[in-house]
Amino acid sequence: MMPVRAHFQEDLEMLRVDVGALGAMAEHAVAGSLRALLGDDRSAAHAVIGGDDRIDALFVALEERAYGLVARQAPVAADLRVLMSSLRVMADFEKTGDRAVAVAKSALTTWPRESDTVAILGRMGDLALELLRAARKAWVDQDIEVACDLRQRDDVLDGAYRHLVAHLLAQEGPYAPSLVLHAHTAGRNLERVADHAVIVGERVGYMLTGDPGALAAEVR
Amino acid sequence: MVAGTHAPDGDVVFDMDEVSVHYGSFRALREVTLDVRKGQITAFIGPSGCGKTTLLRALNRMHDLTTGVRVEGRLLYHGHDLYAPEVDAVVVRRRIGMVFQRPNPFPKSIYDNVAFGPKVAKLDVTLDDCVEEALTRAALWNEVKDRLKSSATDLSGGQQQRLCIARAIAVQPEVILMDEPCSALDPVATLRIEDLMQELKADYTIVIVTHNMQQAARVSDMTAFFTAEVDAQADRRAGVLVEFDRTEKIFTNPSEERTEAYVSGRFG
Repeated sequence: MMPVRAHFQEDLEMLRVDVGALGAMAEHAVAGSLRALLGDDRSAAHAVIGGDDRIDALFVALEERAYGLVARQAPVAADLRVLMSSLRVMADFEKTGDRAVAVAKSALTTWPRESDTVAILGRMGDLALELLRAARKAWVDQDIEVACDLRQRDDVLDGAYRHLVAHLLAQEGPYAPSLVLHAHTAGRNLERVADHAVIVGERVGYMLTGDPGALAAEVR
Repeated sequence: MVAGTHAPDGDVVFDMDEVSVHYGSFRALREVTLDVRKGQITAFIGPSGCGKTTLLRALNRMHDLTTGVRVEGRLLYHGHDLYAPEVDAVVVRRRIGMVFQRPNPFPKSIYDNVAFGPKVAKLDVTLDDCVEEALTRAALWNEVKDRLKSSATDLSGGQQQRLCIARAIAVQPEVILMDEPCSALDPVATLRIEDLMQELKADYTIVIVTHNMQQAARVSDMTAFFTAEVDAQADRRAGVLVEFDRTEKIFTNPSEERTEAYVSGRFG
């Protein structure tokens, strides 16, 4: 005798695993956009931009599957939290892919790559990618410790972002407007990548504990 | 014609074309057209009096046992007219088994309940093997293998219903019809039967009538929604098929307003 509702549990687990795969695609896109931005790798930029359609297609398919499971299985308790969290997290991973596209587009644009600015963006990129990796790990392994740690780690990236803004505000000369515009756009998108990672972490916390405080934390 | 009367994929087991069922002069079910496909679970849902059980009983000629009931229209089973004069209703019921609303084991041992059908049908099988296989497929063997000679009526309601499924399976049918098989069971026993249906559909075509919409949503591949509406000819309410489609479609984006109203609990 299989456990009661074994098929539903299997479907739920498959959905959770596939949301993790979507996260891996988003992570790959962010890594590619950083290679494009910091290493001036134009082919990496084109790959990120072209690859976003696959992320979008998987997102739509997963969303449809999740709606089907909600409609057919009327989940409650932990099952409901897994399903609703899957919907939230898949959206965050999909938006992360969009941020990677925006960074890749910044990389393709001609603007003065002032060395200190590029160094700050590099630091931000490393931190954003680390947070995204941790968020995906927290989701896939259902690791509440990794999930809880994300917000604190994001503070470091927020600090780097404020440093970037201060640095850009101090720029002068004819190249300054173009540098400020494009570097700020890239930095802002990296900061948002980290925000999505933090939301995934909060959502893992809610999924595992049911604590409404984690929901409130998402929107802070 | 209703939205989506033909199920995609798989061989057609039942091909119904404008099937009506009359109780005497009263037409209880009006011109139903739909296909039931092999290896799928097809659910019939709808409010009381919509004709879903009436149609289910027409699928294995159960109405033959009731005086004054008449089935009209074309009802083909693998392309053969189920109601042709030369067709033996007993043979039909062996190929197309039925599990009823309330578990109805015979007041005999667990073993005898399962062995009864193969014995009567004179199947060329070893009874012990046949009983074990049927009970295993019905996910009951492990619970009863050490007390096969105990009375079937001592089993719990959920076990009795699985025994009835084993009894239906023992005569090697192709189709299992289930008439609200979980309505007398508690939620856990219900979920066990639902999981069992998922196991069984690999080998059997299943048609289930259920009042429990969520059950149809959980277990079935295809769902037919019936309702009762006033029949102009008889000035009485008769069952009609409103919509037949993939279950996921019925429960996420039905084509008919009446289906939407029913599945979302605003009517019925």
